[in-house]
Amino acid sequence: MKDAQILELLKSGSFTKAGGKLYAYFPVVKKMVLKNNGSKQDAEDIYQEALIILFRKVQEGNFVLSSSLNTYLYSVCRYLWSDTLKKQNKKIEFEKVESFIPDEEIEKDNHKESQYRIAEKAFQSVGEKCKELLVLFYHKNQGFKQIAKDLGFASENVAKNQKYRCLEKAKDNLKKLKTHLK
Amino acid sequence: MNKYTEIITKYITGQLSVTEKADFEKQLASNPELKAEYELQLQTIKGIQRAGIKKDVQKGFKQGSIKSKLIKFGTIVLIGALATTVVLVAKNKFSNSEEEPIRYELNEENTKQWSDADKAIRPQIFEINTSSDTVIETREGIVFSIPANAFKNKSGDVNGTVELEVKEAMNPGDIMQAGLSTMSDGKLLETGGMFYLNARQDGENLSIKPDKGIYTSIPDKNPGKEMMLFEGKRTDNGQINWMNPKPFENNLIPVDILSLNFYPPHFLDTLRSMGYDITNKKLTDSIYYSLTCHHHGESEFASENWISKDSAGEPVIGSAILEAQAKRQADSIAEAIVKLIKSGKDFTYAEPDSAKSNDTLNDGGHYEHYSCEIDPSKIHTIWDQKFNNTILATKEFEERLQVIFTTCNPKLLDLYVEGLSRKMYQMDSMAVTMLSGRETDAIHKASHAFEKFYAQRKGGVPINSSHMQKLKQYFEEKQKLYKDATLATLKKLYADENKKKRLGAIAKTEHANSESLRHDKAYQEEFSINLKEAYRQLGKEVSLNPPGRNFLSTTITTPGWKNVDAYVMESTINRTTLDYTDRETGKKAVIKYEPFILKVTDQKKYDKVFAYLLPDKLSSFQRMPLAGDVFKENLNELFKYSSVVIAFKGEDIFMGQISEVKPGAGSVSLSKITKAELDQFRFQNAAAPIDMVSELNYQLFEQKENIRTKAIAQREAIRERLMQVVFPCYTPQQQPQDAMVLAK
Repeated sequence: MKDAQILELLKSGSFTKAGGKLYAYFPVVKKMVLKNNGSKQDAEDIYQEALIILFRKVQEGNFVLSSSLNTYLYSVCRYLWSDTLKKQNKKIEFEKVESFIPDEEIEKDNHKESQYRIAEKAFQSVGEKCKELLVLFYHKNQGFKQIAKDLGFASENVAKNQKYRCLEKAKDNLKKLKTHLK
Repeated sequence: MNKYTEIITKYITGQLSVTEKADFEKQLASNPELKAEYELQLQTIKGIQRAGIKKDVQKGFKQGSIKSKLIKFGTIVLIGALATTVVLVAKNKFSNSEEEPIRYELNEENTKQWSDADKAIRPQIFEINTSSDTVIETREGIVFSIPANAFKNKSGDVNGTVELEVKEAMNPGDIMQAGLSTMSDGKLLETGGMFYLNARQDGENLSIKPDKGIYTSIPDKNPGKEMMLFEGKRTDNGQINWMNPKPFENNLIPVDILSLNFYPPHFLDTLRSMGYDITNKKLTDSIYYSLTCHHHGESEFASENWISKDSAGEPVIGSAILEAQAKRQADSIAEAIVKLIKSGKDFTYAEPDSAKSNDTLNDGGHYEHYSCEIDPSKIHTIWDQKFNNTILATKEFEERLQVIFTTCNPKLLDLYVEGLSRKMYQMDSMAVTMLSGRETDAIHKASHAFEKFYAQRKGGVPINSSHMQKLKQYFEEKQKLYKDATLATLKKLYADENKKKRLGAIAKTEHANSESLRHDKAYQEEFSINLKEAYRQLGKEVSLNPPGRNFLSTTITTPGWKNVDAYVMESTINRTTLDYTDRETGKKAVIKYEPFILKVTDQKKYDKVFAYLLPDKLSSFQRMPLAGDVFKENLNELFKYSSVVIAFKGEDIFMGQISEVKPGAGSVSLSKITKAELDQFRFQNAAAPIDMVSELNYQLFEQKENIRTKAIAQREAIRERLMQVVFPCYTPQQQPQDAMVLAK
């Protein structure tokens, strides 16, 4: 599948399908991580994080494909892994290739994402039904009518109100978490 | 609710008017509280979105990972190949059945009487629609083929959704736990398992239309014994009495003829050892069909002409060949020759020295029993789809054909080919007659084999109704899924160098046994994954029961408990003595029955206690009745018994055993066991599983491309070698005058 087609999938919201297609670029990343003191699980985590960053950028409309998805993902993974290793005071060793995305650019994206990671963590501690509702609304962009049907709310309005309440809860959790982290 | 949330939401989603929007933005700049709240909300939303993206990524990653495994190991073909199979298989509604054993007030006879077994065993529930034919496979491998519109109630035909309830006790542990017993009006039975079947709609009991019936295939746990189907009637003491035995139909289950193996024994193995890819049917077919039988008058065993030279250059006949000749076994002669060839010794074909041997076989004349062997071109004719739905397209025929090859008698093959309209057992009986009075070892063995086949009393292929077609498709589908999963597993394991070494050692035997491979843990785990994935792609629940060769089939027209049994002996347990005539010697004897009294320690503390007598080497379960505080039963002097006691307290199971029971008084204490330990009990005569690996070439994975092409290049030279294997009676083409030197 060509890169352009994968990007189309992402723009139309087919994240799962795109994720499946992009598995093809994982083996190279796995090799790199394993070579540098990592485990298979580390490789998977890194790769999935890179995919998340990519998907978000596409969702926000500020992803521009300059080289190839393969190169992009590899660069991001290399950056993320070296970042992890730095924290463990280990160094990373591999060849530097011209076409790689510059570290500074990735750092910007990663920094932004780290904010979102915190928010996700806070979000994880709201109730299951809230989680479902919020994801359907904010990620799947479903309307309240459909949400009411899917989740068994009595009416659209009930779903709407519930969404506000769940959003509040998530905001509160995030607030608490942030003060905690300071 | 926070006062800002709503307006922030409206702003983010663009629901504010132009003026409202401008106003909001001004506020953002001047009001730090609003700003903070706004940024918090944005961040929260991003977090939610991230959670959604993460889930999708993980899901996609997993799918991509599985798909890549499949692509790598070539089983992606599963999706395409099986897309055409549309067999409606009902799923078990509660896969981790925590359903209550008794779900209705009335039983299938519309009375309130329930037995211990009904109360002990949890049901499997299937929902079917009467508008289509459905196939159901239970947990233990019983297959029900239910035709459309098979049920009726008091008012007439029943349409729509019907609930089928099935209970099984197909293993000793399950039988004893349920308090089931193998007695029929006081006579002892040997069982191959018991099950319960009932159909309801909206809770109301249905009956099965007698002209339809539910075609039931039960895995045969006692192959070789004559089993019958008994009906169960509940008794007042919570047990079930088995009655009205009915013989099984012994219909053959037709399969796709191209899925069977009609090659002579050792053909594929020999090809394999020469370096051919035996999973390539086109190749193996072309090799096999290129070898035709020669209708010569001479039929001296070619081995006579194969001599090697010893160190002094003197001709010497290999001892292995001599031995095989003495046994007159075509097969072993061929094998011995192949072995000699492999050993690399110098071989020449020399003129048979008729003066040397006074062997009557080598008189150069007609050997009428072996005028020509089974001609591949004949096999070519019958190994064709136009023979599907005949007795030739069955596993049963495949079995018989293998034996026919060993006899080298083409008339035997003709017998079956010409008897398409007859029942299998009729031909089996004629085969026995054809083979009687022949002297050789191979013939003797074959004769025995056909006697055993005859004893199976296999019938014909059942009427070509649509629901039987569905059943056939079901079995074929399962066969294919298992075969594909096995292939994928072997490929994966051989790709791993370490595992390959270990497995290679196991599989290197001439006829690799899947039994030994299956016990390898790595194989099991990998196979399980591949099998589940194969079923998942079809959107079906995996069937963990491997395709079996032997099924007992019958049509069921009444609901209730059924039992697969054979009578143990003509006897009644209630007697105190029995006049018995020994079948072998004709001697008469009077057999005594002596009482055995069993006391269970702390019996009162258990909720339920079942005590069993298990006659040695039989699949019989004789439940001992309670006589006051103890269990009492009469022992038949001819049997050796062990005793098993199973008790329940709440959810816990307890068990105790006495391995050798003697008349008089005995006692036993119970200890707690797990369900898994109870499941360790297996039937004595459990049928051997299908040997799949011997159908697959392990060398497929060891071969490198160049070996294969080299082998094909040498094909012509090797052809001659093959002739020996396929036709032990074969004489080489050349004139006896010429000497023929064989390439090493």
